[in-house]
Amino acid sequence: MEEKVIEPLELPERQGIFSAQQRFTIMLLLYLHKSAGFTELQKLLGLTPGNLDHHLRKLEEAGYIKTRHVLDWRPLKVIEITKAGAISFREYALSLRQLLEQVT
Amino acid sequence: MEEIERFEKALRVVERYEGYLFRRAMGMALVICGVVFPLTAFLVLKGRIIAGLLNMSTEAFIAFAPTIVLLIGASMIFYKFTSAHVVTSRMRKESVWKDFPHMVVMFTVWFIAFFLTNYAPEPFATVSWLWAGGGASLTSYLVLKREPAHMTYPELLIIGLICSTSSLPLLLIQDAQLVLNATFLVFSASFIAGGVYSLVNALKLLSESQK
Repeated sequence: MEEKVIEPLELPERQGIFSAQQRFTIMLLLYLHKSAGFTELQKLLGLTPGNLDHHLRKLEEAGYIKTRHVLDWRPLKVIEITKAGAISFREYALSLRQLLEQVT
Repeated sequence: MEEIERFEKALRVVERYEGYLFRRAMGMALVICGVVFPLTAFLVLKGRIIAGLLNMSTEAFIAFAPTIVLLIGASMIFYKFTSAHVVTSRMRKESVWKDFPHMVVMFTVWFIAFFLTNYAPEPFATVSWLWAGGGASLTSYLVLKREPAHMTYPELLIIGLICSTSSLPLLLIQDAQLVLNATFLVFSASFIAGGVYSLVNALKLLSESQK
């Protein structure tokens, strides 16, 4: 029986940014929940503030997320997904689904 | 299948985040209940004195002040849940229908428990509220725990145990006013303890990946 060959996911250059696990997780979380706090993300992903900042900067430079500071009972840094980020991530998720359909 | 593995890992993080949001909202809701309900009862019981101090009509004070406190409490709980996006993610059709029988059982248990306090003999009338709250919490905990796939709520166990055990020493107190005050205090303490447990649990859930 001929074995089914699965092509790895070919990403458009601008979606290559999602290939890092941490950035993909951040984008999935923001896609589903619109926003999250910096400290919450840091604890969830088990990253140092510097490391998380690096991933966020990359996503921000791509125009996929934006950060804003809010004043709660203490100052908070909130990360939000942008419209461009949501569209791009959705496209990426759809191509992932196609890949999954090939497998199953 | 690198992409699928990446997706699975990310989904696990999202699930953890949703669990954190839910536990946090629940913790805040319990703490708010622990403050609002005894405060409402206090405003009703001491309405005459407070209204006198504020130079207001007692009837108007008793009608409005507890209602306002209850509304503020309910709004805060609603805000906590909606701002956590928990309502939208948890109110999916299948989830609502799956939880519906549990909600009916719990509503019935709480209703019957507090309804039965009307028939408690006079010396136990006040303490019977704690038995009702404690019994209903423990029953709700067991009902939810019975189904393995369902989320467990140890907060209910904490509330149930505090209410039930604290009611016993209150039986020894003769002063009715003191028993009444202590009952509200125990109710408040049990809800706040359940809420704090939920908040601590939420933080643990958030930091799970660091272990």
